Amino acid sequence: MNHRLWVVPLLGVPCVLYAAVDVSFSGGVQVEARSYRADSLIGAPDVRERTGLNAYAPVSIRLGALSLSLRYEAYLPPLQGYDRRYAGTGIPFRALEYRAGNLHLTLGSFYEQFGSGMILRTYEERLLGIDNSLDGVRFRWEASGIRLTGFIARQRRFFEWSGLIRGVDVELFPSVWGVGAPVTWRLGASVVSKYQPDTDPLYRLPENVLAYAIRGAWQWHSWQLNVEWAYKYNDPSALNRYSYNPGTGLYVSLSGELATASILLQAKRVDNMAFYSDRTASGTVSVLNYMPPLSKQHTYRLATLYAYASQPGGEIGAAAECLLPFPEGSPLGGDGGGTLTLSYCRIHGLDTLHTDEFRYRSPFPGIGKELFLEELTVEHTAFWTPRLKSTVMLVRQIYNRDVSEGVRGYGLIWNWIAIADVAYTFAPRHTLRAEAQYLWTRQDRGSWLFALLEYTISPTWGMTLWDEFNFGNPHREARFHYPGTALTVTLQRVKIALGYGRQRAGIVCVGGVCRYMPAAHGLSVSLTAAL
Amino acid sequence: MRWMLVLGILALGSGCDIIEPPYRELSPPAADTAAVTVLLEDFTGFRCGNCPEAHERAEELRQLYGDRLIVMSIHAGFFARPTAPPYTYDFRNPVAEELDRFFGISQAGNPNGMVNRRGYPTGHILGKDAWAAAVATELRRSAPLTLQVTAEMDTPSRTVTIAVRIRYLQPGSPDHYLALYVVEDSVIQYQLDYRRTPPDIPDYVHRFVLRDGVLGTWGEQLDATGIPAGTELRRSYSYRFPEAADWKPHHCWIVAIVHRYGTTYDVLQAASAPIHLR
Repeated sequence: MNHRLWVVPLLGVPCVLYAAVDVSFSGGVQVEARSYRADSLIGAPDVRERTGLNAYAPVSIRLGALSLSLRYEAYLPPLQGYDRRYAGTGIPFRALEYRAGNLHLTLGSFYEQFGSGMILRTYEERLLGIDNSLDGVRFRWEASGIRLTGFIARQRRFFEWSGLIRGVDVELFPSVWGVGAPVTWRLGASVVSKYQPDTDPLYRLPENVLAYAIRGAWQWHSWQLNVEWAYKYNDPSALNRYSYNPGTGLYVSLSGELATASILLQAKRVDNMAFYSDRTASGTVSVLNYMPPLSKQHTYRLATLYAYASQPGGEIGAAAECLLPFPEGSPLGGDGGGTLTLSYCRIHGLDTLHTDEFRYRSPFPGIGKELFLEELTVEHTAFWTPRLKSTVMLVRQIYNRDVSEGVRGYGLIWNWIAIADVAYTFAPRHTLRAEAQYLWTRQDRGSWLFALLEYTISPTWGMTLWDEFNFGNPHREARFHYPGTALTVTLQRVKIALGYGRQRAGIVCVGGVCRYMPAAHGLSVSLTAAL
Repeated sequence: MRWMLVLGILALGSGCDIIEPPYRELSPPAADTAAVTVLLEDFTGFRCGNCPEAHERAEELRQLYGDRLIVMSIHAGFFARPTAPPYTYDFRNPVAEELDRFFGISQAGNPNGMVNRRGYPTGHILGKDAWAAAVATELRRSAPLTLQVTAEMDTPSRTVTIAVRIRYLQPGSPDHYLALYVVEDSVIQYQLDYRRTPPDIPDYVHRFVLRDGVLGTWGEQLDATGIPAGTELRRSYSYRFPEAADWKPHHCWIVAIVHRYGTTYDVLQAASAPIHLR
């Protein structure tokens, strides 16, 4: 018998499998590359390698109840602003998952969040260079009205894994059992514990640190109330200057509709809740938890100049947001309708008193005198005609730069920000968008102007020109322009962007988590493809 | 459900240590071996307002371990650049800048440091709060060689004669390099300290500042083919203080290290000696 005949049935096996079980494949590629030119005027450093590149390629294959996920990453070397310790290539995310019935089992890498994240939230945010995924074993079991999650894992630290973290979360949905109607409600409790050996010759450090949280959510018609309380046992670390105080966190949010208006009210008190799998870590490395932000998450360029970073070490604040819709045809809504958003938040430090080198008193609520942030935002958006859309925003900020950016000597920055964004579609698929932004302050680097023009031929082409001008800098010789241009091409599932320009040094924030990005000058290339 | 109970018990039962006072170790752990001396490099800058805390941490460790720990303050990067008065002094030098660039320390932020340069290229940058544990770990290692250094200056010519003695206890490899650094202790200059008001300290005492490399940044290869165990190497070097240098010779030290250049960059052994004047 010809041995090659055996190949025929072998080839048939995958076909039979494919037909028998549900198979799917997904993946993508993201490449961000930049060239760097030293620019002593704006403080862009002389980068020895002259270029930087971050690349990510996630792939996922599902075969019935099993799925395999991998993510290749390359930092050759990391883009400026990303931690140099990422340098290299590897597969830092690999997971095998099994889902059948009520059971969900993960072996390998995974992301997890308990409640609002005050004691555990692992996530990936490429803009910030954060990937604090866990790597180990996770079980999840769901049944009618109950969900249980448990894991034992290590945490990603660049291309390695460190620490030992254990966690359990229980969530109950009594409404499913008909309890409490007409209010829909749920209760949750979670425990997270981390282990790190005490090798410090100076201090007696807890090797196992435990944190727990309890939470509840109640929904009645459009109104929803969320409450979460978290507690962390003594966890002396780099960030709390070796304080042996416990950590506490309270987060409350209430949202709903009043007539046509949507309302969101939030309050938060956090004390000594920085929670890292490595007690010597700081910044965004090895972080285990996440503090829900109260401040508005801006996207416009100058509104992000003074972006507030949540302070897990201690802060107390409240925020309110009201969204008023304007119907179609109304004077403030235009032909297509519009919205007016009013938001306000105020955050203070805690009023604490040190009793000795290692402990302090922190009475509840203990609103300290030091203001961290006060922000009032008014934003109006309207579709005046099917072709014309506008957004106008006014922001009043009092921003504590010393606290938010970990520097000294700047104090409170008082500023006003005015933004106008107009988009006009003057022919089918041809849109011109213009942004004008103005930030006024007498402090820090003074006032700024920003202007942007964007021409889009949808869905393929996009061209953008912008300039950011620090015209009010008290040092005349530092009144720099930061011009830039970008060309974007989208071809089905592939998007390529080419850019060139100056980028000012500053803080980039996502969800109240921030990192410093140094000034840069050069060419940028971005490629995103979905498979 | 049973496994959930097990996980819950694990997390709840074994997951927490509550520490009662005193919080300081009453008797610091002794090092297991007397052979190794550890090098702590503190990358710093006089305009770095958070750096004095790191200086204090390094000094605490130096007090704790005495001769077993050598601290070297390396002023390099953004925070070491001179600017407008009063920060006009220039602590920088090519050796410090090259070390900083190569190891990427100031790019990762100041203050940061290295303990025996261990962990390169991904795990070598340590925040000040990681130094103590790293030093303790390094002190538990055994060194493959002993290293002794002496230094004597001919004051009129400002020329230092440096004698180095290395004895190999284990075989050495071609990547073993000897580097010699000139370090000046107690330099009085400005320092920014965010904990003070005002934050500018005019008479700050800068300890063990790296001034220059006698053999450049990386030093010289000890042997191109490898070194058998039991070998003793004696080397002598001459170094002349630069004419323009404002260093005080009686405050200066020579720090000698044997490290693995081009491979792991680990420091295998370190030694230091004050420069004696004659």
